[in-house]
Amino acid sequence: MAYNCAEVIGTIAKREFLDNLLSFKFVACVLTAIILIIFSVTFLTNDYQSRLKDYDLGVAASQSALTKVPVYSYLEVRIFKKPIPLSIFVSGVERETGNYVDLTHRDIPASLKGGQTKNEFSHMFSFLDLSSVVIIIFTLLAILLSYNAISGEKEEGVLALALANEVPRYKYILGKYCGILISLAVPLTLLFSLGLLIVLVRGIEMPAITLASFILIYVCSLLYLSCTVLIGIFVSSIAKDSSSALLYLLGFYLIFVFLLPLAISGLSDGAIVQKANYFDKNFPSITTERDKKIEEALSDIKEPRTWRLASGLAPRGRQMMKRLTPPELLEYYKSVNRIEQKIIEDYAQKINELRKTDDSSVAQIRRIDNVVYASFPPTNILRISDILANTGGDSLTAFFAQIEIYWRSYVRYLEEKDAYGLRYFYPYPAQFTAQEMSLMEKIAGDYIERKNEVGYRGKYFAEANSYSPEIKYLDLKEMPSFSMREETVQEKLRKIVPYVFIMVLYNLCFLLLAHFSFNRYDPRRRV
Amino acid sequence: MLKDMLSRQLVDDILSFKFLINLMIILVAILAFCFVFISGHKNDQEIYRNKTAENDAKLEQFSRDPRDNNNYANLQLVMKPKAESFISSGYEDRMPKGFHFQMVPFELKVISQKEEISGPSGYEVLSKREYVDIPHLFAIDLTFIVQFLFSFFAIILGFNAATGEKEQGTLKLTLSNPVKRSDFVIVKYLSVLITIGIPMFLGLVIGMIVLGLSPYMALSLSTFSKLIQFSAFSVLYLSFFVLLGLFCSVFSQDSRKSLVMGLLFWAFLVVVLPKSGGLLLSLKRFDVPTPEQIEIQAKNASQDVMKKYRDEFLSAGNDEERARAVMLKGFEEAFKANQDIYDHYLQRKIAVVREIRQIYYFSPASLFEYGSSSIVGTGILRFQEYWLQARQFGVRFVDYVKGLSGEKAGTSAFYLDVASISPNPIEFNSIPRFEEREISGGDRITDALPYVALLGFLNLFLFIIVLYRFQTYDVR
Repeated sequence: MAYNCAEVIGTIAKREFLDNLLSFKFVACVLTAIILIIFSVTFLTNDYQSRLKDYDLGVAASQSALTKVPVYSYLEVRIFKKPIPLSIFVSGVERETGNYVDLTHRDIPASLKGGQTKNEFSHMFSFLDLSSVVIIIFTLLAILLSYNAISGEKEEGVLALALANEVPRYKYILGKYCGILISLAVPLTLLFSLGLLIVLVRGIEMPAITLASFILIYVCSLLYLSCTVLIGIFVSSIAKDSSSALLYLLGFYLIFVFLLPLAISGLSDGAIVQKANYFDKNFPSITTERDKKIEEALSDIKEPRTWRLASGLAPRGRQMMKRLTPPELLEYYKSVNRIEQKIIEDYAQKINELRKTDDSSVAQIRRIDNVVYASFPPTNILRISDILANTGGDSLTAFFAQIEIYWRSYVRYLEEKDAYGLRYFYPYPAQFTAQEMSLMEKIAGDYIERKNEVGYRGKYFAEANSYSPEIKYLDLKEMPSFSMREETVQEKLRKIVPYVFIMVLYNLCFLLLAHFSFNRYDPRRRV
Repeated sequence: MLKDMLSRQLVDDILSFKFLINLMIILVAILAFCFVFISGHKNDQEIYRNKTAENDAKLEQFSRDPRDNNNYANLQLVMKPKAESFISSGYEDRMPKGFHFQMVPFELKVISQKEEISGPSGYEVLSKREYVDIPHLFAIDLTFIVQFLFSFFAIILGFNAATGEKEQGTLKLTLSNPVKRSDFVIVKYLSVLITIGIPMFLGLVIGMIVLGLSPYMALSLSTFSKLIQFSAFSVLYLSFFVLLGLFCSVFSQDSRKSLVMGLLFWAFLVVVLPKSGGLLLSLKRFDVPTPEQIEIQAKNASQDVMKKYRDEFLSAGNDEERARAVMLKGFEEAFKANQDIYDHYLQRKIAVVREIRQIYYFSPASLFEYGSSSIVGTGILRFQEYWLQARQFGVRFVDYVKGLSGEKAGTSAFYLDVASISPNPIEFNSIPRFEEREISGGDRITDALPYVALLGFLNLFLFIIVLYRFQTYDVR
């Protein structure tokens, strides 16, 4: 009998697939996975929609807030981070971090605010998203399908029979591999398309880039499952019977799917605390240096002796009262702010540098983390889906890198507009009106009479207080606006190449190992 | 007879290959967890020390100049990291760490995630959660090891109790002797339970030695008594999984099927079921307002009260004494209204946790998780207790400052007029300080009781099914 190569593999694969399809383990795992996905995708879709609503509202509010800024010291740009649609499938850290940053020239933001979960205790409960269903349930299924690929067949006596025909061993093993992989690929495809369907039915926009990333996650998951199947077949071909093969594989499952990531997360937790401590230790020296510099720079400028309205008592906001500040004092403040705010701006960059520096032990832990992550298939696929979905910790780093770039263009704009000098504190006019001048003269006279007594409110306090000049808001139309640059598929691909390379290497390696050990395998049943 | 069978079975189990693998994995896991836990604990202690030092510095400034408005107690009360959380962390790392306490206006608010690790400089660093990419399903503690690993091994050891013997042909032989079928089940059950107990005992001893050697851990006598209670509870929990193994064995015809069935049960009961509670949070029933909404509500509530007192204040006219009294009362009431809203929602949030837990009363792994955190006195139980203590402390502190404002004790005049407080420095040690009290053993046990009882009931239920089914098991 001369069989066509593909035909033999096809027949074995088909038989394997049909066998698996009706088995209890297959049905149980797939049903559980489907139910979980329906619930978790629905849950996360709702969550995504509410986050998107918050985002839209927030952006509108921050836009309208920008039209009502009287002075530059009040200017605070609120930038919202757009929720990522793929967080429905790979939730990552997306839902647990904040959703906006407040940007001023005083500080480069390094952490998101707001967007807290409603219930602070909700993190005590977890749930499985699509990526964890793949890791937890499909890995188990892959193990359950492949552990008896060879040893099980031997125990049933089928192996000796099959090999007695003209089936070369490599074809047999390839057929087995294809069959198991197809039995995993079918429910995996079902799961991914079900998830996508729910999302599309709920009317969530999926741009082409997102869809491409989603498909890439699917392909990589399949690559991961193929790797697990090959490990299963390999173990099956070296174990003395199928039960011990299963035991070995379950050990693998426990250690690499659960224990290892948990232990790494514990170490990383420690790393972030160390980083915070490092920052705290070095931060005061920077601020004292800054304050000293400001003091030195301002030592030449003398504050003019003149009358001053008790500003702290103003109920209508400080800038209203300050409108009636004597012109010579305004000049003084202008020159002080130009120097002081510029130094603060310079030091914001230094502080940001400090935030970014890890001390060596933290960097070391991060390096170990990355190596460990890449080295084992289950953690490898976790990292790949994080990168593709752009919901992992690294996506935040990328976001803040963009924020930093924007911050630079923002302060450049402020400097061009002479924001620290011209209208930093008070919305004062170029020239005072006659009404203002007369009021000021009256106040000045009163204060000089009382010799600037501390805590003196002034005879004309009520008059000054009721005086409300028309406020001119700043024109911020030319101010650069922040737009989040999304990663292109090519960039994502470039990032996952090393991880995928390791996975492919694993695949090849275990395929060869399975092949060689099966070539020397004794198919006879031990009696 | 029973004794002979038991000893034979024990020797069989202990010498088996799977037992060896189990023992290895467990010991490695416990050792790895010890090291990770110690490093985490060290860091947590450092955070705690920093926060306490911050508080002390503020209080010291206050003692030097009691009139200084800025020093009016703005403290961060943070839960002290406990060595016991190695037994069961109760997911404390995913809960708020403590409270902000502010005296004027009186406020006791939960510390947010972000503030946890930001130090005295006040500059936020990324929070822990943002830094770690791994889905957090479990915590690093003994509860996880028992709940997850030991339950797994209980099934591995129990799955072929009946089927394995049948396949070897020994089952028929054994039962042909005058051995009651129920005795056979009991022997199998006890033997697996004892076999599981050995690595557990070894693991606990080794773990405690490693932890005890570390200079960062403070193990006390109460830690050991909690450990013993926890171990007893673990045996109850593991007994369920041993029974589940037997259950799979008596309901299937060969060992392989029984193993697969056991594994699927295990994955469902230990991973899938307990780890899907987060999905329930989206139900309308468990909805709570966002922190921003709560803040607005609280502000509105206090403003309403202020409005009510404003008219009264204005009607007082020139009667300064009365106007002052009305204003003080208004302030106090407004602060109270503000705080009541926060308290109400905090209570509601904790109630939501308890309600979701109740839904999981049929899941043994969840019961074990909740029960062990109650036994050890961590988790939500500790938080509730901490909250009560923090509130008491707040009242005590305000009373103390009221006492300082000499002339009219109890009028809280300092709200309006700092000058009513004597400017003389006070003794630092006389200022009330917050010290967390341990939860009493009785409270812990009462809280754990429903979990223990339910788990016991589940055990009994499964035992009866196994016993009943084995009576009609086909031994051929």
